[in-house]
Amino acid sequence: MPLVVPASSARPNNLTVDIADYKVSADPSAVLVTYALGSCIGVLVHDPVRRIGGLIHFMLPLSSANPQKARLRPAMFADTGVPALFESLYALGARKEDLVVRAAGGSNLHDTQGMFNIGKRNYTVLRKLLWKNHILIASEDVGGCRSRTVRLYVGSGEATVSSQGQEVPL
Amino acid sequence: MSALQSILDKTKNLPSISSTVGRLYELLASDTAGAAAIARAIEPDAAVTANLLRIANSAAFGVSRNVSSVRQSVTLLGPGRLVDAVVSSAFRTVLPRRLPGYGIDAAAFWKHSIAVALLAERLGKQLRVADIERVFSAGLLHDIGKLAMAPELEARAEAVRAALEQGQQSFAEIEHAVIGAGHDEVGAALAHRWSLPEEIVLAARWHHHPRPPGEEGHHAVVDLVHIADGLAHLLGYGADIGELARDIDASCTTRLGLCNKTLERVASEAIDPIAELSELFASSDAKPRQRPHRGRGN
Repeated sequence: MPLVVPASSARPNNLTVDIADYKVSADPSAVLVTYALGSCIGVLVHDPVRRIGGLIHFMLPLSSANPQKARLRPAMFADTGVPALFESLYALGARKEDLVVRAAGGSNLHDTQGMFNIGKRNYTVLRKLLWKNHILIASEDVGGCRSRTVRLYVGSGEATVSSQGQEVPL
Repeated sequence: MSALQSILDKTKNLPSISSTVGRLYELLASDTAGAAAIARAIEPDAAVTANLLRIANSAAFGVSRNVSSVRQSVTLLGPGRLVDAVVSSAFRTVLPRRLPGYGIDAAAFWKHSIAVALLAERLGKQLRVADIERVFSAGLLHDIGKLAMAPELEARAEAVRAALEQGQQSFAEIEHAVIGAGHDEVGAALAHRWSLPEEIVLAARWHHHPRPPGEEGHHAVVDLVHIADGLAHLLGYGADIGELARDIDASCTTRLGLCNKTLERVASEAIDPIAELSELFASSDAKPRQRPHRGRGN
């Protein structure tokens, strides 16, 4: 289950999101972080008005690959995980019209071909899902053959992506 | 002297994998050794025994009751699983804290190795590939050459980085171009020196370029390790300096009859056991942070 951190927490607090997981927080001192995004995609969602943030590290595009797993771990798949992330943000009071959405990851191997195009398919399904729900991606760093780490600062809404030793704003 | 030979000469100073592994393979091949004899071969090796009990008790190794002795792990795991557990234990004892040239630490290297072992094994089962009883150990040890290559690569870090930035070559090609040898050749030579079974030597040697059937070096285990290695890197298990600069041999997927659905299903099933086995040694990997302002990852 996603971890919800109460807004009363005072000290800075790093919340690590594992592969096939998501976390949301209304704690302004919280930093949501996920490491080593390869073909997986990290979606960072922030409500600047209410200072609420969420981060998912999903692994595969569609839950039809393993419906049983999708019931246990919705965050494994884009089509079950991303809606679950948004629902959790709404449950904390976030409002759709204020959300800022960013995405990073979706890398491919050096030689991209058919079945190993998980990164590309992850991105396609994510785009479609957001588009259907009238949600725009404010910024993204997607594709290539890099491994990425992303951070979302819940208090400020600042987001960063680091890769090959360099951390830059996302 | 060739680059390969000079690297291999230096590896004489590296800790070698416990001789318990070789003894265990011999005992199991003899077919007459009972559980007691097998346990007696393992017990004197304190480092391996300590790790073995942790591994044997993990859910990923599938024993439901508490394993408290070597003897018990021999009977409960059965010969095939026991070898995998002993190889994992012995491998774990030779990991250095860091592999400097590859930009990874022991925890990340272990995680990648475990991921490849589990993914290769599960792909093999799902695809019903025959003759792959050593696939787990072959997957686990496929990158052992990196232990010996790390200092060489560190010494040529600038050249490696420059080649990676150009984005033209796979990481394996870059190793050969810059150092004159790859972790594949070095790993095979180490596996051979440690008297490991042929499949393990072949997987170390050919995991970047599996050989087609009919050619020397072909083995289904190598095909599976090749696919699992690519998949593990895609999923972010053990992102090293080479990251995703690697190729998948399409003929290999055809031979195995691999499709999207199988690949994704296996990946979705494997992540929990991968997480469990990678966390097993997390407490021994934990060390005081020297540079607390820098995060891990890359």
